[in-house]
Amino acid sequence: MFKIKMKKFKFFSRLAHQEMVGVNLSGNNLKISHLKISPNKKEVVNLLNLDITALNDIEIAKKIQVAIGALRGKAVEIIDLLPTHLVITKNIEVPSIEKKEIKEILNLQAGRHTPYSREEIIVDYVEIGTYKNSYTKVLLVIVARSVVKRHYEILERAGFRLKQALLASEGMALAVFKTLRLENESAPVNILHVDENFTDFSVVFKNRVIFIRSIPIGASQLKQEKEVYQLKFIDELKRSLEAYLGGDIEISPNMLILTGAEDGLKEIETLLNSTMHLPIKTLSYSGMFNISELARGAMFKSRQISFFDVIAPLLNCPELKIDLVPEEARVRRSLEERGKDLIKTGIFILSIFIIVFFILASKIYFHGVQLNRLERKYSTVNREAKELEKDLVKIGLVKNYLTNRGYSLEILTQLHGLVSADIELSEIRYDLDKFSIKGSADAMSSVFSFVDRLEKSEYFKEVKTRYTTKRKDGLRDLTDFEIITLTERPKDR
Amino acid sequence: MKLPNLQFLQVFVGKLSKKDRLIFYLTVFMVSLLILDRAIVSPVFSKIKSLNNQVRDKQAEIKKNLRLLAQKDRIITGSVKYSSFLGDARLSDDQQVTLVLKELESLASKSSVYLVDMKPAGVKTSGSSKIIMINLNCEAQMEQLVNFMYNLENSNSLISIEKYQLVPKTRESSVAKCSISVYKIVAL
Repeated sequence: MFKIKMKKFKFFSRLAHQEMVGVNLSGNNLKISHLKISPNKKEVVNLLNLDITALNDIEIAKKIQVAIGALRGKAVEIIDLLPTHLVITKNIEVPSIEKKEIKEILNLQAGRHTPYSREEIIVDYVEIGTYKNSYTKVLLVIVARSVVKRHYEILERAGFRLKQALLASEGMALAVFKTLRLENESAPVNILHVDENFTDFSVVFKNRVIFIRSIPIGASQLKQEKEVYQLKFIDELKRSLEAYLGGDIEISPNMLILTGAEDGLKEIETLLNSTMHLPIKTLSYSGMFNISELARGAMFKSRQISFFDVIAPLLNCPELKIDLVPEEARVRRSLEERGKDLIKTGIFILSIFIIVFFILASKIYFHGVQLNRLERKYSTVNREAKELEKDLVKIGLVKNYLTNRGYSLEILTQLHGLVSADIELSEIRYDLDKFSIKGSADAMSSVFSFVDRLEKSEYFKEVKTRYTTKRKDGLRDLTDFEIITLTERPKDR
Repeated sequence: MKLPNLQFLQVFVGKLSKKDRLIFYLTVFMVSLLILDRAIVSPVFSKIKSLNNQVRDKQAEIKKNLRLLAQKDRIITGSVKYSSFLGDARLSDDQQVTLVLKELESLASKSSVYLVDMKPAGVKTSGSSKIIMINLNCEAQMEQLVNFMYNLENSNSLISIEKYQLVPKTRESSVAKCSISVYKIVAL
């Protein structure tokens, strides 16, 4: 549910080097290519052409095992490259422009274009373009499920698992398109790929293959029975072009590019120049790729065979639109990828946890270390400072004592100065900030004037007369009193 | 170790509607987050916070100590200057009390004050100092009494008068009775 899309991290995996093997099982030949792809180099390591005439599937599997057995167990992607003569292609119009709807319509209609039932075929398509705002022209590609299944079984028997099943001619068309930089071409380009027994006729426009047709005449026939097959070949070529134009797919091609088996390519070019009303350009695929000496040796040995169809699709793999993998294999692959993604997500989350844990643990550790280091480094300073602090406190105590001493006597002195002659004190009580005086006076007015004087003094505040009582002492009238007050230290003391 | 059977959980989740399943997953997620926070995140962060505070306090303490060390000479000079006022902090409470009593008696006799009685009123320790309390009753002429009080306040032993009460001994008498509470501060 909370799975992270690991595909976003593919960038890192692309930095590593990748090995790919392309397998083309067509008729009497088994063609194998081995490519090494790294971020800055794409190299064709080896090429093989094996004769499988009259061999059954078990024997073919054994041949494959012998040929590429050394790659077993390595992280190699095995890709099935289907030749054009094994597929059925149709250019049709679909009354929708919604991708999902187009797919559904094609799934329903595909059966009508083949003698097989829907369950017996695998269908894919290339969108060519939208017309009349509601129609989409597509190149429908159909292959019998049994063909792909057979390839799967042969390779599984050889110990390999197929990753993809691609249409070889789509890969070749894209390779030519890229090599000749045809992006800016305003008209389609016709590509003719000549192999030993077959020729692929394809039309490519704006980075998309829009028409494919297989011609059952190859370099071998054109060499051995020149007179018969040259005419047939030109005839097939014209019929293919007519089929393309008749399908109202795009405008007429403005160029024909001839490529494929090196042997006899010049002769075909001469033949085409004399019969076709199109500019012809011959393109040698050996100059298009970085091919090792070993692979060049294999090419030289089999000059009647073209390895273009086992090299080009592998190098353009991510851009190819047609994938003819059976649905069950696709589901299995998707499940496997999901499983892998889940594991990767788990590892990713765990790694984040571990990193966070290490960051926090290191933070705690380094704080502890810092604390210990501070303790150790300044232990002498702290010890000495503690002693000094004690001394400082003692000095403070003494200074405070010296500042405040004699205050109780100052109060007494102040009182002595304020008492008049007609007042007789009988008790003086001092208790920190509280002060009380008891005594007798000749007249009550003397008591009040004493209180006034006390109030005016800066040593006393909140002076209150607790009582004044008159009494006779012999012939004298006396007033007993008690005054309470709070003491205050003068500010300038 | 036998793993718990999680099949019932699978069955339970399978029976839930899409909305309920979403709520269930969200609840599980939130509870997991809460447990993670309570069990790991909060303790770890509080530990880091506490260590941060300790480091900050230690740094502040070191700064203060360095400032104190910069004033070392001044403090030592002050300490020497006021050493005569400071008693011996190593003496026990009883020994300290006896010393104070002796000094009070000596000051009283020097001022010709009649000491009626002297009673230790306890020893209090506060922070970096100790306070020894003594209550005394005495009788003398007012002039001698004031002289005694003056001597008390000006002694080199950090003795102070906390409270006093002065009354004439008898009516028309020039002799005064005095109750004084004094205390002595001893720096520890």
